Amino acid sequence: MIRSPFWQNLFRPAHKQKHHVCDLWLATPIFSEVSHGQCLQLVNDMAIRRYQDGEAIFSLGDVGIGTGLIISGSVSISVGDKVLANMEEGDFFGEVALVIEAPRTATAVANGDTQIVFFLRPQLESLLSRAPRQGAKIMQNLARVMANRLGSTNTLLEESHVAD
Amino acid sequence: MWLIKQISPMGKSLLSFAFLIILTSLMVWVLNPVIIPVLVSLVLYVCLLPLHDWLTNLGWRRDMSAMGILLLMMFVVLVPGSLVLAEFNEQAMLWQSKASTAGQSLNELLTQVSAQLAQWQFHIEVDQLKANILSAVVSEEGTFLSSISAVIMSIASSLLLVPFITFFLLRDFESLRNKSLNVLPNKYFELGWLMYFKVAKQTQGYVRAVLIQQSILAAVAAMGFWISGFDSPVILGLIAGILGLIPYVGPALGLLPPFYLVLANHPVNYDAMYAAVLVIGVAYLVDNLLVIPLVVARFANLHPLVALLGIIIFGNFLGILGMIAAIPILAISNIVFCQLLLSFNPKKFTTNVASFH
Repeated sequence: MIRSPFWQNLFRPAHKQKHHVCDLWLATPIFSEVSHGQCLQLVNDMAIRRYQDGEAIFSLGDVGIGTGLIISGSVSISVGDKVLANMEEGDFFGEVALVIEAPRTATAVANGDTQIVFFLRPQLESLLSRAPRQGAKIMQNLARVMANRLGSTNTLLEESHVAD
Repeated sequence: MWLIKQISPMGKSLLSFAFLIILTSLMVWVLNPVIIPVLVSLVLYVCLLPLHDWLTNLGWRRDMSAMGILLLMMFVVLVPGSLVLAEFNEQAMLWQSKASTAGQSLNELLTQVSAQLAQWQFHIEVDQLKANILSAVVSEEGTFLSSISAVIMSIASSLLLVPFITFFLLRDFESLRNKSLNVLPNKYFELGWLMYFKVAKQTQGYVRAVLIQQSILAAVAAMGFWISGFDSPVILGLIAGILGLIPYVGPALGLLPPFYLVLANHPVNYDAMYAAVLVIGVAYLVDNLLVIPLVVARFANLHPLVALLGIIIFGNFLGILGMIAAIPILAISNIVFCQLLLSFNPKKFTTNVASFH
């Protein structure tokens, strides 16, 4: 009876890919010290999108609602003609949209067939109300990531001033 | 493609909004045979979601948590609910049978009022007015009592369906939502999610707030009717609570059933009539001074004229259900249209912070 499609649909097991996505998230600084179970619960609600080679993931000025993690393929981030970064499997981008509602200030384009999983701001807000301790941990990690990136940007600016 | 680029942001927003309205109307039309059980299940889903989240957070599996809540709902909500609805059905039939007594009492009352008004040079057609009032309140295919009765009995007849729809909503709504939103093209994926979350947040807040508000209103009214010695105070309180869902005209409509009960007992007890006015007045005073400012106001920020026109228009097309749904539908439309406008015209963003890095 347990093999019938009705019961399998009623009590179906979690998809294997979700464990792989969960491992990728846990390897990022955003999910540092977050439990595997909690991460798996979050991954259940995350949206996985496929992009073709050259397709825009988001464009400058678009609505931003979350951060993307590359499951497979690669992504280049650019402003106008200037490429700011090339990202590979396991890298994440657009994390400021997890904290505030703001337009994207760069364009992200897929290089080759690319699969991206999105962690959205309302999912983080929901986690903060459901499991405040775990939510606060992610917020703290996010603050660390953004502080580090702000530090790197400041260093780059200082270096460019010195070079000028 | 060239043509699309020529359309202004406002034009694009209007076109997208019209497309969404057509899509929603089509869904409502398809769901029409089961619209009441689906709506009741959605309301229950919104109310039970925090409990479901709490249980899953404790480590319960989603299906087990939904099953637990389904069993709880069967015993705690549906059994007493069925008893109240059976009682309501009995009372509605009793009230219908007392129509001739009520007509006689109404005739006497109107004759007295007419005589009083005639002294001040105002003349009214008593027979015509009586016929209009009675046909509006109790006629066979009539409007008021039969309308409320129809809504409540539809809910009652769908009681068997509601727990199962609610169970599947609790267990699968998020996965269904994810699959539906995954249908969106990559370009509009983030916009779609943003609109969904804003609408869901507003609607869930509104539904929970209104249910708390109406439960308090119904409890205060039922207590008042019980103290005043009315028959079936729980039913009268329940009707006042349901009619309270209709903004502006709800209080006036809530007075009709107790007035009708007073008129249905000959000779008319005028003290009971004043008591009914006092009970409904106190219930709405508590509602307007305490509950609405504390609970409801932050979820539906609409201009009173827009709200009133919306209630009349939706009521004209969809009856009492339309009047109840008018405010949330208008509030949702407001959010969706503003978000579309903002997305097609990104310069309007107030913040300008880099979201990359």
